[in-house]
Amino acid sequence: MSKLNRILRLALGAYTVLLLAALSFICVNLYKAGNAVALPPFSRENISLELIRLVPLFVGYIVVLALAVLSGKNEGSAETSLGISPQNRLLLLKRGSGTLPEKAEREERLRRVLKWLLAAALALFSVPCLAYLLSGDNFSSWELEEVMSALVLRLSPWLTAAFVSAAAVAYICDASIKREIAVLKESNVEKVGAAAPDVPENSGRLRLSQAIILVIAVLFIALGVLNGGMNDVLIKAINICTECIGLG
Amino acid sequence: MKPGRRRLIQLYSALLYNAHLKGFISGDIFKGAGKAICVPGFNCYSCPGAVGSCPLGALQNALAASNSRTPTFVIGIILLYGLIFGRTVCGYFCPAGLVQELLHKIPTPKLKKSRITEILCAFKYVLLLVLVLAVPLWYGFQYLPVPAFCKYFCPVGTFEGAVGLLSNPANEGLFSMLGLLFTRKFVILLLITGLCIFAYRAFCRFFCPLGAIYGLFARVNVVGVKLNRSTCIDCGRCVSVCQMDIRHVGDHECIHCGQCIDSCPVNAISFKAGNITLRQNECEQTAESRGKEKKTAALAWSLALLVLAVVLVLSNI
Repeated sequence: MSKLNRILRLALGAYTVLLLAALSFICVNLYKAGNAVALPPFSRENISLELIRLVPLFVGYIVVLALAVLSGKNEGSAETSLGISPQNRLLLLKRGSGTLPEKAEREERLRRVLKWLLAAALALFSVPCLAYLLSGDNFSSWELEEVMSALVLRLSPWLTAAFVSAAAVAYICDASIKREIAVLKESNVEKVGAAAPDVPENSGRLRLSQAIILVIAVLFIALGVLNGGMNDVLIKAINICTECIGLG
Repeated sequence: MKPGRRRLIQLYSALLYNAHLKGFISGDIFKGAGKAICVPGFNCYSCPGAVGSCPLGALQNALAASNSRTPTFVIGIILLYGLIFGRTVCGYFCPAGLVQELLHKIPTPKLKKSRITEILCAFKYVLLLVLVLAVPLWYGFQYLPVPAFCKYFCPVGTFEGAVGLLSNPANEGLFSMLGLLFTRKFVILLLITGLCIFAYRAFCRFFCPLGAIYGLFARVNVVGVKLNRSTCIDCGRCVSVCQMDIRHVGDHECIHCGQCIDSCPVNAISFKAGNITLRQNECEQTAESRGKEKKTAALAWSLALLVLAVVLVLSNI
């Protein structure tokens, strides 16, 4: 990628963020302005006025976009590889080797322990979330804004903790995998790569599962037609769902 | 299928789902019987052009009404689509996927897949559990329909439904209904649009509950990319060229787009419908198989165009 192309792509990236931020700002501002005077905040006129102000920004965006596209076209396209994950690389190395060296075994044990710890942590974090979700008292108020805000406030810390834990374990495991790959390579294992899982195909069981799901699906659809479920779908769909599209 | 052909199928699906072209002119939504059927992909039924129901919206509404009626119809339809196509729907039959891929073509710096993105993929299951299942069910027991995902998050509804309806002068009256909910959803739409520009199919990977549902059928879906394990030499090129967060071809993150097929050096990957191979590596194709493929494609396209013509006529008269 040439320097010019790189600069143009960076500029376009920044410009994209700027444009989207400007649009968000306009939307929020219109809402606040309308709310302050207890009038409907949005109308075709005031939205059009605000968008007209953004026209130079849009024009500039199109110019930068055109330049970036043209500059990229001149370079042609190269096949991009996004890289093989360390886990897949290790899986293949292990297939090529017989008994694992002791250092490799140690890394395997470390990852097993980490995965169990992560599973325990995720189970721990899921308890308050499930307790909250399964309690009907938290969903008894018809003040939906309060309920949804409370839902987000209660679940977010646990979800964030779960994500951070998973990310931390993933990074420690990746470091461990890289160490194991180095050990296996030192022991002259040649095959390197990524793999499909070692799950033997059981076409008989697969066919049975597919048949069962098919029967259940057809039965459910038939039941739904008979009990009026299909009619419910139709009635809902032929009326504008103002909630669904954010109109309140 | 080459990316060109897949793009054609995506465009065809988008047009088929939104064949009520009259709606874009009149500003009204389609009210025909076709809306009793859910389309496989993500398409808001409040879009002026929509001729079918959104499976996710229908599921939430059905769960919200489960006090009076067991939601077997919608669950049955989703089971059927999942069994036949699984996440092939995401790769071929979803307009939201098409829009994301087009947005990703904007030449900005891109966020590559990593362990972080792999972990973030779990978030769509959280959205599925909380907003699609739990909240609608709980309020359904209180006879208050709350399609929580549609109401508080869905960017497809905001774009196709809200923007689609509001851009028509006939819907001037709807402007008075815009408030905090719309503001919030519009900002979410812009955020997700930005994410999709920088990260390939960010909505599909991190937020789409429908993709989460279809991903559960990864082991059983009939149509999709299949790996011949006896031929596979585990070189990993399929995983390295894939832009989704797959661990292996055909797993729950695979959208069966087939971009890995030509990268396989031993032709172990093919696109199949059951035992019938629809597409394999170009190097494997003989003149005879190419001729057969062309004939099949011609027949399939003729049938598809006939269906599209019928739907266009029926939904616009």
